[in-house]
Amino acid sequence: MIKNQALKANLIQACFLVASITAIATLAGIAFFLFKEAFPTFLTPHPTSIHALVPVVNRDNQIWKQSINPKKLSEVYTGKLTDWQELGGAAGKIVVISYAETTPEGKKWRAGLLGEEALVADAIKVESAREMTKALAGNKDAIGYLYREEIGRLTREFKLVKRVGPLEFLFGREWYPPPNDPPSFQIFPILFASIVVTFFSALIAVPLGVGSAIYMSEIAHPKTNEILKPVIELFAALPSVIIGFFGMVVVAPFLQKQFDIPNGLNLTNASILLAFMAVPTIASVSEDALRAVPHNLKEASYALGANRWETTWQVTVPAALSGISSAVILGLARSMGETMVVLMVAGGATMIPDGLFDPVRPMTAAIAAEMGEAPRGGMHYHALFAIGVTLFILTFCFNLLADFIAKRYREAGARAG
Amino acid sequence: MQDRKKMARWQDGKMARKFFALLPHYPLASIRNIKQIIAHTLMRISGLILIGALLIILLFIVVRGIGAINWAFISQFPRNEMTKGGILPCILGTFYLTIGAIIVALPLGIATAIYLAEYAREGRLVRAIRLGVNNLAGVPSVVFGLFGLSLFVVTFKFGVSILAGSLTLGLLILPVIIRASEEALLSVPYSYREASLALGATKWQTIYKIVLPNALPGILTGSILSIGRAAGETAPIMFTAAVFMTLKMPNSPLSPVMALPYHIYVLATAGTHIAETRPLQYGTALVLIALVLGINLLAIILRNRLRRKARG
Repeated sequence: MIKNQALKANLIQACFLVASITAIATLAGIAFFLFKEAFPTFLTPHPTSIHALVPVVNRDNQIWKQSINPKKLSEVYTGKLTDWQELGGAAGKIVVISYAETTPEGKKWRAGLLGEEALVADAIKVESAREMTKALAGNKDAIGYLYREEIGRLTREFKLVKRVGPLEFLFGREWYPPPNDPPSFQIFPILFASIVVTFFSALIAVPLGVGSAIYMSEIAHPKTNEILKPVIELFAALPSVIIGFFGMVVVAPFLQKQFDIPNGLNLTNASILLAFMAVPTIASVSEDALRAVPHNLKEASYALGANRWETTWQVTVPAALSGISSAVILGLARSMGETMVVLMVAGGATMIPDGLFDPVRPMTAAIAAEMGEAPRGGMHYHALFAIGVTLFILTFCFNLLADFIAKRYREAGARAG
Repeated sequence: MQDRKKMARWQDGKMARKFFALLPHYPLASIRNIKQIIAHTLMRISGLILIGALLIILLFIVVRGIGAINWAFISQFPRNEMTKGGILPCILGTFYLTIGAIIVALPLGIATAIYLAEYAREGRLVRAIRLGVNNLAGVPSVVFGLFGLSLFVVTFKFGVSILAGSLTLGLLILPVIIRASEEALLSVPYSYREASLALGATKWQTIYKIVLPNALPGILTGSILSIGRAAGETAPIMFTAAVFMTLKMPNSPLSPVMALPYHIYVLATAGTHIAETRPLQYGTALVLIALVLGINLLAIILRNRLRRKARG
């Protein structure tokens, strides 16, 4: 009997252990799968061009079956690489053909590829696309460049490909997903939009959230709290698609009328609505922090003759400051990760905004809006996962920071008590 | 001359000091109290703004949406490219997805919480797990959507389906359920367990008969709240379960569905009849709000009732 009981206890414990391992393994799997799908963005080379110009070779030069990256191409054009063998083709001296520096194509090529370096001295200069094609057709070892639509029967495109480095991905400004040709995946406008929208929403949400937390914990009558607390809980429960919908049908026309702007779906609209998504988090976490301040601190302050507000502002709030900061950080993470609101009301333009009424496309909106069009396993798909990873890392850091600050606060509070 | 000036200044200072010392005794005139009144008013206003904003949103949707709601709206399929007819498939879709999410998350979440709170020894591993769970509760829902797309839809080949969507939603609410349940379990006083063990009960008997019943209000509330969240989420099901339009009822877990939140998004942003379908949009929004807030209200009522029972 006793043996049976021990066996049963062990079995039960084993069941719970298995369950928790399953749960945690799945949760850990999230990070793994995100990264797995995001990595090809950085590992696979993808087609590019130099201001829409692509390298072109003679039809008979078998090198076109391979590809070249911008660094190698610039070495060809500055004379550091002189033989096709070095690029993996049949032996033969590379004959470099370039537009004259006075033509628009020549200027683009210099700006996009050569920079300050000098063009190889024995390059053949041409003035027009026809001359370029003629020169290429006449020499099996020639390399030149054309716009893709100018490539004819006599010439072949020599694919220019490159890899995106993580830094270029994060800080480059050209997000041109397919059907743009060549596509370019650099997310700075999207990242910047997320940061700007989060920042402006914080400007509204922090005073509102912390203010109502102070009101609930320090000022309001308990009966008022019986109304305010459920209100905040319901706000947190309101589906974000409803708030986004409200922004589309109410806030957007209102902004359009008040500020006389062409489109009410913009940065300001998104910031206002996101603020209301972040307020419940900020208010409830700050309120907990304020209520956790030991009562003897307040009593000491009253005993010194301070009134209620002075006690709140100079004793309670500073004592709860780390809890409030952690609440604010959690609220920011919430704003940054919110999808439906920004998808519906931010306007959706992938550009760096000039003003408060410009449309933007933050990270979450870009993922949600473009994933439907991105073919699975394609470059665009992987790039959207890379945005997801960026978002994941950012919010993870926010949460860790909030956790860290809250922990320190708990220790400080314990000491003060 | 110098002395008289000094004397005068000293007297002025004395007067001023006397004046300011007396001020607090006249409450309305005191600068400190005026400051307090202003500050308190500001705080009160921020609370009022919150109440006002919620009321405006709710009233707006209710007033505009109530006209669209009738039996046909709830019991029929959409017609004429979704410009007419009802939202029955959306209601059913949301229902299936939510039930699926509960089946995935509830047993797993509560079992994990029991292990963490009752069995696991406090150590580096448990702390790391707790940190991970806490952080995952804050991961954006669209990221869960990406994960569901990559694992369930593509790798497991479930396709865009109820199954993939339910698993994704289940994982989304799993950390929330674990956290709420663990908190509820840990808030049961340790003396209860000691008393039970002292009477000769086994560990499992103690958990089953003493700890769980006492933690039940907390566990239930947390779970129901997270179910409300699952019902209202859009981003995770966008790539994993929801489609614009299906003409037949879902007949297996592998068929795609329509869902209330996604339906609102689609009607409000895509298609050529955005203005025409406004009444449908308001109606759908009202149904979704009623569903989600109803679930939340249920949680609150249940919590209060169980609490009273536990006290009595």
